[in-house]
Amino acid sequence: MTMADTGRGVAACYPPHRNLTIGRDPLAELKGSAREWQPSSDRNCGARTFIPFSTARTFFDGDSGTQNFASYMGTAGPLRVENRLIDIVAFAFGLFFIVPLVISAVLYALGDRVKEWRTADRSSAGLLPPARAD
Amino acid sequence: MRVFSARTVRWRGIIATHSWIVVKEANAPAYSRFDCTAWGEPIWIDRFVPDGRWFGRMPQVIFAADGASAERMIPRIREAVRGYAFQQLGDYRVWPGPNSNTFVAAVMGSIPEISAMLPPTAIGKDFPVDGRWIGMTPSGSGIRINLRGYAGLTVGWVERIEVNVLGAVAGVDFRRPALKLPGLGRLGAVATPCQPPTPLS
Repeated sequence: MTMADTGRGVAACYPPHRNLTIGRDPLAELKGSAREWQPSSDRNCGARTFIPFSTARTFFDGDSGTQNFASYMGTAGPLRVENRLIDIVAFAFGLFFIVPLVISAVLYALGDRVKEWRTADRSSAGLLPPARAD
Repeated sequence: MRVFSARTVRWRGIIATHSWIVVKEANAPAYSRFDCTAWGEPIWIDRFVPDGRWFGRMPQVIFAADGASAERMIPRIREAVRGYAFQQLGDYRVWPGPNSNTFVAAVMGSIPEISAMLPPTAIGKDFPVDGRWIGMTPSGSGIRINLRGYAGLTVGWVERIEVNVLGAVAGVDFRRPALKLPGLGRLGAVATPCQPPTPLS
């Protein structure tokens, strides 16, 4: 879990950021994470949510803070995993289906195209030996 | 015996290839070529040059067999052509099949010795001619799930792993390392080396 102090509350990133642990000094940790976290490039962030400060503070009451947060996120967790899966599938579809077709279209546009199929060359490509009765 | 594949006519060549089969018995004076086309009755025999360019596009040899192995295959190929399920006027559908690649895949699938498969650009090759959603792959070496050619998943020893989305096929071949990509075809090791000629017994 990573969190960024937005001034009005906490933007929480789930699943955990490797470089951050939640300790007993929550505000210091929050400020630290706010400097580290770049939302546009944080690839460890599977999902984000916005938590009001009043709620966020309760996560750090005592040693069970992290568990409290996990409990808070519990209902939203599966939905976030699902969103991550959709992202992966969409990326794979683009990479393995859309991009190759676009490349093929570019190659077609740049290559020697047959402009008139009625007069196109249909002669032997020389891939077979001449037919003869053996 | 040869299986050829070449890019289709005009812009459709961006995404698809056309396949056909050529055979010649040892004593025959000429080759026999089998195509399935959208023009008139689907099955066309000897209407094109056996190894002719497909409207200007260079064909590629997908499978080759010579000598005794070819001699054993040819009668069954002719039988499979005669028994092809979609050879009535109006049976042909460019997408998602049954089309020319469905026809060639069906004939190849009826000959277990043909341990090859059509390229991923052969749209329609996965159309289930038996109408089943789940079944064996044409080579008999794996399992195929197919939703009438619109989507599918194939896992097999010959076919490797292929995902079919709206007829476009992407996949990976671990045995002969290669990627299979729609529009581009196979990138990597050659799928199936041609069989060396075997002497007639």
